[in-house]
Amino acid sequence: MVMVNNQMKRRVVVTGIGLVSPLGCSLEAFWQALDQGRSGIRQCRNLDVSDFPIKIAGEVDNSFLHSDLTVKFISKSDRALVLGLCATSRALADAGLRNDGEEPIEAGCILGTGLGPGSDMESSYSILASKGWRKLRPMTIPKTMFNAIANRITIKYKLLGQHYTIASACASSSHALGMATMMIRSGMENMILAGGADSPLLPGIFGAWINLGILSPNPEAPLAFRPFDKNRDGLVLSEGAAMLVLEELEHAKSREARIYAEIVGYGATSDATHLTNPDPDGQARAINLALQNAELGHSDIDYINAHGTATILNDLVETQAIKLAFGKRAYEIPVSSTKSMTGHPMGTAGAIELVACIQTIRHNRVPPTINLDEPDSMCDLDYVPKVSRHCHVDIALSNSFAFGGSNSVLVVKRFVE
Amino acid sequence: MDEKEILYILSEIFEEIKDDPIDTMGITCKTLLRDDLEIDSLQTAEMLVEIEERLGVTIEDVEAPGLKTVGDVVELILQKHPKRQTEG
Repeated sequence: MVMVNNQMKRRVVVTGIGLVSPLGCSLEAFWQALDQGRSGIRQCRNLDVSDFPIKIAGEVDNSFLHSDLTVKFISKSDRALVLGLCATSRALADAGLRNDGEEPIEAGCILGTGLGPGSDMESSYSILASKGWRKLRPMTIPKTMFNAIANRITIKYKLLGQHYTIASACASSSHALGMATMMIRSGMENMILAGGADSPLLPGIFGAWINLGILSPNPEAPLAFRPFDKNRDGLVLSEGAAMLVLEELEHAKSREARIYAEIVGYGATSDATHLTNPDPDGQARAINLALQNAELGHSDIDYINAHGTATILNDLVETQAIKLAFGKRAYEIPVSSTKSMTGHPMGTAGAIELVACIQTIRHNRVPPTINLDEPDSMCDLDYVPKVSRHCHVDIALSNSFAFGGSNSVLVVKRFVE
Repeated sequence: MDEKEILYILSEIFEEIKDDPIDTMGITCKTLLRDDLEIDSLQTAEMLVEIEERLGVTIEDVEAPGLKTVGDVVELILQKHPKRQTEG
């Protein structure tokens, strides 16, 4: 699909950000951790890992959630739902909109999630297996259907625009943000809450990931996630949610909304090659499409937030893709994997990483790839090893490359009137 | 098991099946399920499942429409409670 921008005059800006992550649940805490190169990965406390060989993950501290939801609701509800509701509440408040659900808001909601309401799903299957179908709760279907989280968000916060859920594994929320951008440009909506919510930190999902064989076995939590390092040995799972208020520029200005940044490009492709192995050609095409959609050239990109999952193959292929897309220019652009600090939050990754890009632009500092002690000789780009640095960044590009060869790339720019 | 104990358990059940916080201290036998607690048909079904699991009392679906107040639920539970029936 060719995604050209030449017909669209409507500009899309970010006017609110809400996130819950292992690095904290405020924009300030999140950015401070990234800038200081701090890892949010730790020994699991919420998930019982006593039976698992891997015991680390990026968990969201429950105490961060209590200002938004009651302890009772948090304990009885699906985890991704809890995270998504918290992030949405914060995004709305950050955008100067009501988050009490008392007044309807003319906004849509596009949520990206790789696993959907995973904990409710696992509980239901557990009941089915142990007690039979007759013991399944009456609310099983409404709670476990994939769009349950987006449904609950729109109900709780009275969002009246269209809403749906995008599931494309690690690219889910990047796709959600991209599609929200296109919808606002097209005039379908003036405002959309877009982003992601995911938690793979569930007994079944965690165990299945272990069996897939690409999780790092390193027990030293802060050191385990090592993108582009010669000794990288896999990813570390994490959870989180990030919701952004995307708004048409004139609509934002009419209500004097604060503007964080402008989303200017979106490119998406399929590798069409393999279920788990990525392909540099598909990724490079997505990058080029995003640039074309943004009406920008390769020389305009000041920073790339990599997908950077620290598997042998992903990091190698992503390096090849960046070189394929940018040519020699690739060696001049700082590229970092913030997953080295956040862990891999599955479908939420794209949204959290777009927030990282926005903060990079706002602060003119590129976050590091931590644990990059000895770069792989085949990953020879400037991956900002270990320490953040000052760098004037006006335009950033964010890669999300998912299982199944589903690629999504976003371009975000410093807002200039 | 007496009325007070059942009321307490029912209050816990209402908290469980409702998403929004409710004032459990204010629940009495006169509290209306639909108008006061805003319990809809799906939540009623959930309530019946919870009652069966926690109290061992089965309230059939056909009996549900007759339950207008919390007191109606309490009374039916008292009638059907295994211990009450044994004492019968």
